[in-house]
This record gives sequence, C-alpha cells and structure tokens, in this order.
Amino acid sequence: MSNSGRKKWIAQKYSSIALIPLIAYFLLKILQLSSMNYEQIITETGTIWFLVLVLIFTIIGLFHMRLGLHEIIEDYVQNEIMKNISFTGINIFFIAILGLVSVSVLLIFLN
Amino acid sequence: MVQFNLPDNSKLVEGDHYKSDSESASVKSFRIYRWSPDDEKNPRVDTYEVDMDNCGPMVLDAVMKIKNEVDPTLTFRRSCREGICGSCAMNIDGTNTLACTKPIKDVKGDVAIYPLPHMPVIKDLVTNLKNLYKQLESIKPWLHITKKQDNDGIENIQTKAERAKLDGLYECILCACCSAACPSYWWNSDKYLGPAVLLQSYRWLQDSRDEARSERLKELDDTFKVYRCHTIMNCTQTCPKGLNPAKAIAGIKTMIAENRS
Repeated sequence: MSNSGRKKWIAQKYSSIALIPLIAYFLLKILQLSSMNYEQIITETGTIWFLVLVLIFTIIGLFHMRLGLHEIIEDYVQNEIMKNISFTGINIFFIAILGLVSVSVLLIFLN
Repeated sequence: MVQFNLPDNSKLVEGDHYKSDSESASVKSFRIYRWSPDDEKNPRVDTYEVDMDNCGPMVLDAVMKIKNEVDPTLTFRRSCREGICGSCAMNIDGTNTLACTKPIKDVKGDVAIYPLPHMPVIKDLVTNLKNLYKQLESIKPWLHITKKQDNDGIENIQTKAERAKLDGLYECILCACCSAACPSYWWNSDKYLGPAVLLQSYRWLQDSRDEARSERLKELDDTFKVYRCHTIMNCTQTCPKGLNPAKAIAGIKTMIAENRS
C-alpha cells in the first residue's frame, strides 16, 4: 500500500530502541572525556570503534529525527505543495548533516 | 496551515446575565456558550444563576432547569439522563464529559459549559457529528461472518477468554468526548479517524467471531487513518465511561505491524 503507515511506524520504533543504548554510551563517554586532558581525548576519540559508533549514532539519530519531523509536517501542513517543499528541505538538511559528519569522521580517522 | 487566531465573527463576547430571584446562599453561576446560525451575531457566553437548593445534582439537571425556567432558547442534546446514550456530551469546566453524569459539586466556582471543542456548532451546545458517523461507517462496525453455521441458526460461540477481550471496548457509547479532545483529530479530522472510531474499530478487530480482521487491518494501514495518533492520551483522560482509546489505538498499530497477509 503506497500510503502505508506501517513501515514508518516500525522504523520509528526500531530506531528509537537502537538509540537508547547509543545515547547511554555517548552520555557516559562524555562524562569520561570530561575528566581527561587534551591528548587523552584525541587518542580516545580517534579509535576506529569510537568513530564507527559516532557514524552509526549519527545515521540512526538523523533517520529518527527525519521521521519525527515528517510526522510534524504531515500533522500541521495541509497544503500539498508546502508539504512536499518541507519534506525536500528536511531531506536535504539531513543529507548535508550526514555528509558533514562523515567527512569529519574520515578526517579524524586519517589524522 | 493551522489557524491560530479566530476569525472576527467567531470571537467570544460576554452575553446576558440572568440573575436568580432566590435569596439562598447556594446560588451557582453557569456560564454557557451561545451561538445561533439565525443571526449574524458573534458567539457569546450567557451567565445563569441557579439556586442549588432547587436543582438536581448533575450539570444536566441545571441546564434543563435553565431551559425550562429561565431561557427556553438554550439548545442542547440530551436523552437517557444516565450516561448511556452519549447525547449530552459537552465541554464542562474545561473537560469533555457527559452533563448527565457530571456532578455540579465537582466544579469549583462558576460552571463553564461549551460545546465539544473543534466540532462545527449547529446551535449553542449542539455540534455536528456527521463526519464522525461517516468515519464510523467507513470501518464497517458490524460482524463479518461468512461461515455456514451463521445461516443455520447455530450459535457462534465464544470462549470466556475471547469474550473478555471485548471488555473495555464494547462499553463505548460514541459520545465523541475523546475525539473532540484529541489535538490530532482537531488538525486532521477529515483524514484521521480519531479515538472514538478507532476504539470501535479495535472492538471488531478483537472479536473472535469476525472473519474480516485482515481486510480491516489493511484498510486501517494508512498514514492518516491511524498513525496521526501520537499517544497524547487526552482521549483516555477525558472518557466519561473510563475507557482507554489510546490503548486500543496502540493495539491496532501492533496488529497492523503483525498482519502479514
């Protein structure tokens, strides 16, 4: 069904569940990093598994945010043209953010 | 887009004040929304003073007393007087409820009475529920049975456990208090079915005798019909029958997710 809400709803649930451990990990990580000096932080955040987690967190987080924003637009914007413009704008914004994060992660890794 | 300001001709103005002749200390004021399509006037709030020593205990008693003794032009729906028909659903003291089961003593200060919010007003406290009934019709609220025994006059027996699944669902009287309390229904009542209709839908989805479960779920699988519910829970909080439409909607979402056929 083209207008099915099922897939979007399932995607929202799974992404929110996936974000729980990731957010917990990064909160703990921030606390840990706050007690380190500059050199230690550079070493800690430059590891491959940390960067992979940053990338996973960014992808899932942005995907979840995008779904949420689409919901808000669907709720409140009645005009179809405005709705499509908003959807496109949101998609471009999130792709840009993802691109920036990916480049940053790559640069950190290469350094 | 959502409209945040009321048009000028919809802005509420202060109406008439009907003072009570009674010298009793237990006079209570009822501030009631009034609007008539017969004139060009803005909606207004009239204030009626009612002697509580000569009035029944429920808000409906007071509204009927006002209509019978003070202002016969006051228009509202009512029928059973005991919370079964759902006719007297209105917004009392900021909450959608049934006037016949709402005790006056539960309201501190003046009793504010408005029609169900975000429903087109026909007159005074009477709202147009056509859209809700059309949506109810769309979910086909009847048993779909094709089995032969139905025609043979043999009982279609349910187990006690199967029957128990309908508890908390069949009691809905379709008063529309829940739908009129739902912000998602306010914004998208043309496409979102709303808690009242979805609770009804879940009632048929839960019926072990119904054979159209899969078709019903396919019909409901739409970005607007069900998924505008964001678990705000106003529906559950306001339901005068103590039902839980939000839980029913969550149940529908789970059933749609599990429906593979």
